[in-house]
Amino acid sequence: MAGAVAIPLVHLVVRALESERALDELFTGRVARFVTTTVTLAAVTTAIGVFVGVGAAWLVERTNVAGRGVLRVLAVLPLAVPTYVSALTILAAFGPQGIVADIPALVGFWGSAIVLTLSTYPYVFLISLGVLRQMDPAIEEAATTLGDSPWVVFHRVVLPQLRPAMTGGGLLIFLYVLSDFGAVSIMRIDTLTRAIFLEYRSSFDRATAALLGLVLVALTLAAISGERALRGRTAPARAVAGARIAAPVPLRQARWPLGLGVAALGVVGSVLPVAVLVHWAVSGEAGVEAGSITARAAAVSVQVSVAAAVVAVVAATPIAFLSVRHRSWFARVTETVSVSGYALPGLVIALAMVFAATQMVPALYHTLTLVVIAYVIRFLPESLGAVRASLGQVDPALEEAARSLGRTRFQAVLSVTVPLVRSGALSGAALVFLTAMKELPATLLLRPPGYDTLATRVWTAASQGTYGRAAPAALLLVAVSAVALWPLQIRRARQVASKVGG
Amino acid sequence: MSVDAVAVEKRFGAVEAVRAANLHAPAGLLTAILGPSGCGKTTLLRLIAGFERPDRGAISIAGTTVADPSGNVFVPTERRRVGMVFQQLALFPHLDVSGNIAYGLRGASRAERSARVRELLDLVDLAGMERRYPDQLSGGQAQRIALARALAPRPQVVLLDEPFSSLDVSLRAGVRTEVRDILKREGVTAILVTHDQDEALALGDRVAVMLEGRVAQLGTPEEVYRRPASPEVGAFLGDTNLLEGKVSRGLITTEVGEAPVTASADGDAYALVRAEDLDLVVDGDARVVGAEYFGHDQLVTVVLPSGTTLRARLHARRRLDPGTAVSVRLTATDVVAFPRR
Repeated sequence: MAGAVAIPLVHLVVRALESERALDELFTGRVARFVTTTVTLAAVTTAIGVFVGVGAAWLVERTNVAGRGVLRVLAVLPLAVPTYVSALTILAAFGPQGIVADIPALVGFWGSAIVLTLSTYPYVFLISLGVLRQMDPAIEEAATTLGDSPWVVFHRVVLPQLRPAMTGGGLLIFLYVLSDFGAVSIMRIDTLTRAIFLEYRSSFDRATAALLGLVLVALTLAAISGERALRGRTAPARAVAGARIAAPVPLRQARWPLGLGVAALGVVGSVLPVAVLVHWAVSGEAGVEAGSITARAAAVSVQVSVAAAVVAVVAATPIAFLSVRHRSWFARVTETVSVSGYALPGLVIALAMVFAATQMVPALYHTLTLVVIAYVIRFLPESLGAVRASLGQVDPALEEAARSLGRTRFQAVLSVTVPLVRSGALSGAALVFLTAMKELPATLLLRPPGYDTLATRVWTAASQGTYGRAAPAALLLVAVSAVALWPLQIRRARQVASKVGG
Repeated sequence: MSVDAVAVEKRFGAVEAVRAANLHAPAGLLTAILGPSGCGKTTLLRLIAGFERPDRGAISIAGTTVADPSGNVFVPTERRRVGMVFQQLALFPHLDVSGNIAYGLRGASRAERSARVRELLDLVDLAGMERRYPDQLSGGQAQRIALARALAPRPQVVLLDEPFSSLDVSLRAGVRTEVRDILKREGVTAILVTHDQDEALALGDRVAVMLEGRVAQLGTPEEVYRRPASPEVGAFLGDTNLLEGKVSRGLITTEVGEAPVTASADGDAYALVRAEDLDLVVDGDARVVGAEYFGHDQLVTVVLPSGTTLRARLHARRRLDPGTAVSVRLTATDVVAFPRR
């Protein structure tokens, strides 16, 4: 598995370095402009996203903001809308000659920043929510006995404990923006991903695309090490079982405005895009494409996504076993390399796959198999996370008990551990399936000619300016992604349940 | 710097956590609030700290009223100058030891702060630990740092909420005496909440026994142990037997013998007899039905011919198998009696 990730990357490096022209290009103003645009967009989106995510989480978890229960769900919903769908619909609603308003300036940087913020703040929101819930209220009380008023306590005690959530969530947003292709293409802003794609499409010499891909990888690595430096050392104190729940901070007159503010995020990020899509599909004025085209694309999407889900879980299981049960250097290296796929932009992985396939196994080039391999590399961390988490819950003493009752080591694993890990593996497979359904840039690069997925249908329609054509495909994608939120919710509910039970 | 609570009441929905509780914690002494779980002792402590508002009654610290709903007085926690040691310690995980201790010293200069931190680390005997983080401390060390943090701003009173319950039993006794010594050296008023009677009796200069939301008795450890104000208080403190008897001229006569009583009217009464005030002699019409062995001693259960069950604390070396016929003797020189109606 580690090899499957590493070998294509080596090909990417070789291809980038073999052309002198490409190397010269590295130091021209053009590349510098791409980098500046990309980093600025990522930084702005991260700053706003972290602020909004932490703020919303604090309001929902620790105050009496109006409609806490509804907001808890509403604020997460934008995760169900792929960025290219939300870019498309927000542009249609508020962009030039929009349905709701006419704001030509929306196309470009700020449009991208808004769309990407809406699509990513829920990550910070969810992480912060978890940290806030696990924070021992006694720590805040301790600060009050030492003379601090509630606001000072927030600043001196709560925020520092949220720091890992902020830097970790911030990194997630930053990497997301670096690798996003859909929203920036629709908003027509020249980031590295868009430049790589255009370069790949328009030129016979693909070295420039490879080089830009390497620059993107370098930015990704820089962001990861930057987060390590910012994170600080802090293990947040865990509330013990049966610990009290903190009393909500009273907001008085601000209850409703702040509640409406959080609600607006969820509405613009999820309800509005769906409303626009439904409007297109029903009114038919945008020239909706034939149902059979959507159905064919859906079939292809399901086919590759199911394959990717199965392979990802099968590949993740031994790695998870190694990393949970045998902490050796080999296990650590395998795990690190396997997880790195997550940090790598999908476009870069696709590019690396193209080079590796054409060099080593030309028969794979332009096949759905290559698409599946790229998905597995990109989404393996999701299945690995799910399998690891459920394996971590299984007490090794259970296997020892089975062996003391006469089973061999292998039988013990099969009869005790595997059934206990099954639900975790299933939810991991579900996550991979649902994320793969939305994947756009790698699919665009790797799909065989004539094959469309739901995502590429939406993108093609958008890039041809016929926004409404792919409304049914987009609606299907949103529905599928909404289901993807379930595993998250179920895991949360289980955590809460085990806490109450303990 | 005494702490007083007068007729304090606090309800949570339908639950009356504290009902008309009265407490006087004298300046410079350690008052232990002792009671079973759910008796309202932690709520009373949180009312004193200002984490909860009383529904009725008044609380004052060093003569200043800090909570009194009838006069609409409520001083928030941060202005009460109370130091608190929490059950799970609640050290700030993002700050090192010196950051934790200095947390309450805002407004002091940097030099004053570091001087006070050093002073407290000396006091709790952990000098040199400034740069450690809470997750790098042992249970006993974390305990002492939590105490140092509470003491640093020179609070008017230190409140300790079951502070030893998170420690291993083997460590507990040692840390307990250390904490007591530190509090004594600082001469600070302290209130400790515990459900452990040994802890309350060993640490408290005063013990307040709390039952069902009320302070049932307040006195020195010896007073509450030797002279319980009610059978319930007596039963909560140590293994006791309640025996029917009759008082006449300073003497109570029971099924198992006579003993002097103090301050009880003549007539029908219950004698509160501690397990250690009974002795068993082989041969008789009572029967041993079981024994709990503790190493240093044992608790032997016997049934009298009348059907009454008694528990006697005997030396561990005595061998009394179930079924042995014995007679019970009352060896107490002084028994507490409660009138029986």
